[in-house]
Amino acid sequence: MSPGVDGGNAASDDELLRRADTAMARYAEGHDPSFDAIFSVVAPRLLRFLRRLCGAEELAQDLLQETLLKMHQARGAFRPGAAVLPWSYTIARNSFLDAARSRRKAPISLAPPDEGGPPEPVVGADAESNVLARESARAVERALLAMTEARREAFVLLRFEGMSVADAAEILGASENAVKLRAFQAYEAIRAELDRLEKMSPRRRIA
Amino acid sequence: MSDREPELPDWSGIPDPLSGRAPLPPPPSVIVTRAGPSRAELSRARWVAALVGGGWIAAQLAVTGLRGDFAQVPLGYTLALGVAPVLAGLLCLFAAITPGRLGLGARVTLLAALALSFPALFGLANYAFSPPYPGAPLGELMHGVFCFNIALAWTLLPLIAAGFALRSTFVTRAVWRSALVGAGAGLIVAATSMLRCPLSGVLHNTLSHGGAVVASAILGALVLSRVTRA
Repeated sequence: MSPGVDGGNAASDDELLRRADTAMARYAEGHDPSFDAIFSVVAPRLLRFLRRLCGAEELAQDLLQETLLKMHQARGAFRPGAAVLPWSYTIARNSFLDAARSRRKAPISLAPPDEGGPPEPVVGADAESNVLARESARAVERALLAMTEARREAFVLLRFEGMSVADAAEILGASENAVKLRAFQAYEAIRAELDRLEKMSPRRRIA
Repeated sequence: MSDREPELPDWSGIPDPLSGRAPLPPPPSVIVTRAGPSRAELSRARWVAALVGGGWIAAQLAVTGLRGDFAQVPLGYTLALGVAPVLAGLLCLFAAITPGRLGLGARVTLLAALALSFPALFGLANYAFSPPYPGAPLGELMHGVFCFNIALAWTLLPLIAAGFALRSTFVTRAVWRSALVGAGAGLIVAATSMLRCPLSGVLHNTLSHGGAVVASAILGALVLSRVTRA
């Protein structure tokens, strides 16, 4: 699911990201057609990142558009040789925080979160474990949306986007220790939610 | 991108909230109607802004002229309150636009340290090098208000020029970086004020010239950052 944690496509992923970095450097120099190469690599990742942050698909799509427009505006500030992903994640985070602030009275952390369309078809006899996995994913999402934005974004960057602590700290404008602490607190909150779910699950009650 | 860091918990068992859902639809393509300036254009815009800002300050100084007693001003005073603030101001401007390791700007600790310490150091330099004011303190304050207004007016055009040149380019730490732009412009104007203003009292220099530095930094943080943030 996430670009940084999938082991199988790691090599091609790295290669794609390198190409996107090169394309961004060219785009920053004014070569407009290079944007297509950036878009194809970066946009799906940004969409997943924003979806995990805001918990609503429609809002994530809007924020993605805003992020891409900001990337156009700020392209001249992109440093040649830098990676496009942390740079674009930072802009996406700005868009998310702006939206969160503007909706402070009607919080962005809408509950329950989006269903995200129909579930993937259940294959074989392992329907129960499939349902449990789905419930666990929902529990993670509930816990993420219930915590502070600072903890959520630190956890999402480290756990799901595969960022290093150093890069996440740069993106979030915080110290590495602060990022680790926020991610750990997020992890504890999610762990507690998953434990609660496990206690409630029928399989455990039967056992 | 990296593997799990050793000090982080083993959270490999935490499922992705997007797992088990239908894949997200492909993002709709974006039609670029008005792309921002390229690197070369941005660099040109920064130089133009620097020339406009610097030219504005120089022009104001040319109109008002150097202080009458400039030849008698002690060298230490000139260096501490005329030369050092210009260097500090240029360092502030450089730190504000430096891209940093990932192209996201300098570290927030460095930005904050510069934005807070240079105006404070300017105040300390005033105490260390300014002679006592010969007149009554109230008179000094009255002149101070006048000088503060002039200094702040001198910083406005450089800040506006910076706003045009740096619009939507600070991807992160926009408030601190914009505060540094404000502090940088303020420090250069404060140095110029020393060349123009014949009053050398501690109170006057600190409240009017130094106050303009602080006000300019606050303007940068509160107003300029809204323009510069990407």
